Amino acid sequence: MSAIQDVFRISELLSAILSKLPSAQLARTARVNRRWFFSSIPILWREMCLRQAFTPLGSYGLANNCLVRYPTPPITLLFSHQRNQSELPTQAQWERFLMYSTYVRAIAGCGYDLRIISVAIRSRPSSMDYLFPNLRSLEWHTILIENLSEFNLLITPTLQNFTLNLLDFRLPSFQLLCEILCDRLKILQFLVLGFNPPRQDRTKCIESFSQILRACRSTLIHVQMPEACNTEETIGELLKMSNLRDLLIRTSFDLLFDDNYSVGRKWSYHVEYDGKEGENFGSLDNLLFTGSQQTFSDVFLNRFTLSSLRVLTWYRCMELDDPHSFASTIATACPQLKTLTLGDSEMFTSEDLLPPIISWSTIRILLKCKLLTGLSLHCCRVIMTPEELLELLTSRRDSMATRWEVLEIYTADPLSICDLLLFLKHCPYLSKLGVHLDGRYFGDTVINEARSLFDASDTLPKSPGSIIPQHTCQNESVEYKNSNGFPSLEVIDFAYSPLDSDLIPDFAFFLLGICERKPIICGWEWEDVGNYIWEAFRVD
Amino acid sequence: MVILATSDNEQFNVDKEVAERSVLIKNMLEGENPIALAVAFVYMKLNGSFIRHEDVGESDQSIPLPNITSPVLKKVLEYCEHHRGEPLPSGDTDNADDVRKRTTDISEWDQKFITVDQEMLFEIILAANYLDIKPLLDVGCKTVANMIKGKTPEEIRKLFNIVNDFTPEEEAQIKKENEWAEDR
Repeated sequence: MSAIQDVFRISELLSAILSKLPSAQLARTARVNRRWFFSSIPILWREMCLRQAFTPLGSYGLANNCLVRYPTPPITLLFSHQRNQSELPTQAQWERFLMYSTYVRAIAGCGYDLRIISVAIRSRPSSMDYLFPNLRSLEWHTILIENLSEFNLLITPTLQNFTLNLLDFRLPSFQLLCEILCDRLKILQFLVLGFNPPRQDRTKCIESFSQILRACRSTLIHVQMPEACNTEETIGELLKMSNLRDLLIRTSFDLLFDDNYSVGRKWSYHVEYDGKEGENFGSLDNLLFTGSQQTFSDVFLNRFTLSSLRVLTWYRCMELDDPHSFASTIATACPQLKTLTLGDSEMFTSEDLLPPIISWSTIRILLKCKLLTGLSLHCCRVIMTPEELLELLTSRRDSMATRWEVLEIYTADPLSICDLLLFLKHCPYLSKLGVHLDGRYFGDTVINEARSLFDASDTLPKSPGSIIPQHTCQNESVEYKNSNGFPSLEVIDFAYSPLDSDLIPDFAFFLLGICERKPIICGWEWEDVGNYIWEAFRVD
Repeated sequence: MVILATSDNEQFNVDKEVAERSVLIKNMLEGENPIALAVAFVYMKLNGSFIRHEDVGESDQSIPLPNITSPVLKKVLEYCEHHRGEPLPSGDTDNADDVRKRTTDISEWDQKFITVDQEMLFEIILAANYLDIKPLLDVGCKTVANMIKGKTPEEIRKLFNIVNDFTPEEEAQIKKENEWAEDR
């Protein structure tokens, strides 16, 4: 009987068999045992969605599975449908949704997370107070809040994590929403709000936001501020929090250059305005902050003590005017700092026309600065010339007191693709690499056969050669020697490097060889190379 | 000709066209295929070994199929032989929702072919899955689906010797939640 058990043990095969059955039979196969249950129910419910009995999905729903379920009891549920006035759910569909929520509760017990892209609910049953009682985490991404009754059902007093992303901000509904939140949220720990209120609504939006902060003052640990909410009022609220550990303030470019909403200015303003002693970010562990160098100095020179801060990220950091004064500011304000990241590691695309970048010469000054000794410095985007690159590769890393990692490198001048092997040898922990390639694809001669390229890479010594000193750290050295390719490279951006379409398979082949993970390939026309790699992994 | 070797060390001489009904073998024979090469490349990187081009090309060497016994391979080859020359299904057909599902009809020849004992049927499914022969896998799955159709959970358990790991309360709960589907 072993083959039978083998077949049923392979969930793809069991699903392949069950998918041939009508839904009436699936309701019965769900009761055979647990394995069969977890294979039958998704097919049964997916079938319902396809027939549009459950949600009015239309073609959109067919393309993107509206319900994503997991083989283990669902921790996260995804329910989405495209908002379209003519396609609001009917009473019967709504009942199906309730039935579905019952099903979720039956499997997952009381603890589950819900991720809602957009829910339109026209009617609701009167018998239920909350759609998902005991909901702990709610992540809601929607275009706009229109009908608060739908939202009302989801906000339970048990929420610990709450994320709201709005594409279209409307003040009246946001204010009502805040009232609900203030009333209900008593044990909230993680608050992430993402939207950009229009200029005329900002003051009122900030008022409402401050209310939430006030309501959850003693419980909040992690706060991610909405854009343009960094004012004296909100900062004042944040200062009163006793348990705040992570504070993330991301700001888009247009606000970054808007003096009225510049972070540092408001922060220093608050201190002058309030003038109270003893209010400090004493518990803050991790700070992500956006601003110009001027506002940065304002913040850190203006008496805030960040006594326990260990991780500081200067988001959208530009080139530093004066690295020396920057270093001394950091050293004074944050005595416990362990990790400093300059620049943002997100939004890494070739469309990003204005990438914040730091030159290697600035980094070199920071590395030599005695004040920063012991600090781990991460530089997200470094721009360097080939000469500087050579200097980096041949420098004696063990003589540097500050440990640092280049996470992303942009090269100033075009390189040959074979030079990627140099990066691999000397910067093994790169996570993102932006290079501009010249026309010489594989060294001086164009090698059409990718196999030869692999042979070429094999001739490189496995451990750093004579010009490169051995790493001082023992563990790192071991890890380094064992790796066959970039262990953590996730993105390679070739920007506008020329690409000969005949060589696409060769490039894909080569990149596969030097990356241990499946990399994301960016660049104009370079997506084809990426597709090739994905295809290869799919076959694999 | 291609030589296939089963787990019990029996060798089968098969026409290339017949053997290539299996996507697995087809990919192995088409070593020049850059995707297959890239996969092989990753594979040899992982193993630290270097597969020569000739190793996977047409040669005297046999292709080992360690998961398949000779009676099963014989049966699978019978299927491939009968369907030789038919167009191979493209990879996307199983995603297309209009084609899919609910049709448990099997052609007459296939029906006759798949009339085997239960153990052999499941062996064929495993082999078809391993060798990546979609139409055969489909026939196998449809046959099992036909066996399940109309049976109660208890009958299904009995048929395939499956242990029930639900408590009676759990089973009742699931029944209640999905009753709406049963009478559709």
